Amino acid sequence: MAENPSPPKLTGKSQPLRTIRETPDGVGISSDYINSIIDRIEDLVLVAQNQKPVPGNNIQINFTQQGAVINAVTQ
Amino acid sequence: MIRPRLSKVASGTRLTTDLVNNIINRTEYAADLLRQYKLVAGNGMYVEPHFDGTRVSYLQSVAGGATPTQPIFAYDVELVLDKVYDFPSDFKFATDDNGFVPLDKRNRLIVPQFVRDNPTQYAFRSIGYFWAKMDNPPSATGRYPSWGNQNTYTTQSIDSLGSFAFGPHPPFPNIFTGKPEPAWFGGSGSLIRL
Repeated sequence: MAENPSPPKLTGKSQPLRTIRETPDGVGISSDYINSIIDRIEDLVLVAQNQKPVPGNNIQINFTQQGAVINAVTQ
Repeated sequence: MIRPRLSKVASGTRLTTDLVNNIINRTEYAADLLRQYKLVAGNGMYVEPHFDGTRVSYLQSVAGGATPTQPIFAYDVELVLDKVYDFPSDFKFATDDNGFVPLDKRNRLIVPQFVRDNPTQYAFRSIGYFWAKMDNPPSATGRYPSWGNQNTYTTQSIDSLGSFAFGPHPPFPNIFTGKPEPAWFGGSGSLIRL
């Protein structure tokens, strides 16, 4: 049976974020760590933008507060 | 609201309120997109969330659609206790005057004899949507709205004749003849012991 092609992989390269630990002198956050947070968020935005449903044949999509409502277009 | 893409920071940059708020706003923007893009089943559709994606099916075959008309069960099936049966789309069944589903060969589902002998001890538990169409449409669409709740299981009693209802839905009578019309079900269900 023919199978649908796999969707292209997302281009994100970020890694899961590590939690920070408190030290007696406080918390030191490097610019590298801030940038890893930024990378992670930008990948999350990319993933979210790729989730946007696009109507195909005989499909209508209405974007509402509750989500994207999919309707079948009937003859 | 669209929030601007975050810029990388250089070594020695002060962690300011503005920087933290920009990070928060960009995160909330992504969360808002995910909320907007959550798939919700509308007319004639069935949406089934899975851990690795979301299955979207038609409740009936649609010309040019991706889901061809196929019998869900190509042969008679005697229900096995606790086994989950999937009805991905357009499982057609006939309802009687009370909205019950006669489990005859037309439906290709058979309640085991041990259940018929003690019907009050068993039930059919299902989750999904119902859909019905009338031969003589009373409206422009000629269809009953889908009925059911994809996120809530409903439990249907079984009678001694091996019939059960696919949820407490109303029967689907033809307004001209008064006879029940065929209906479709999309979802899944199991024969359970109460």
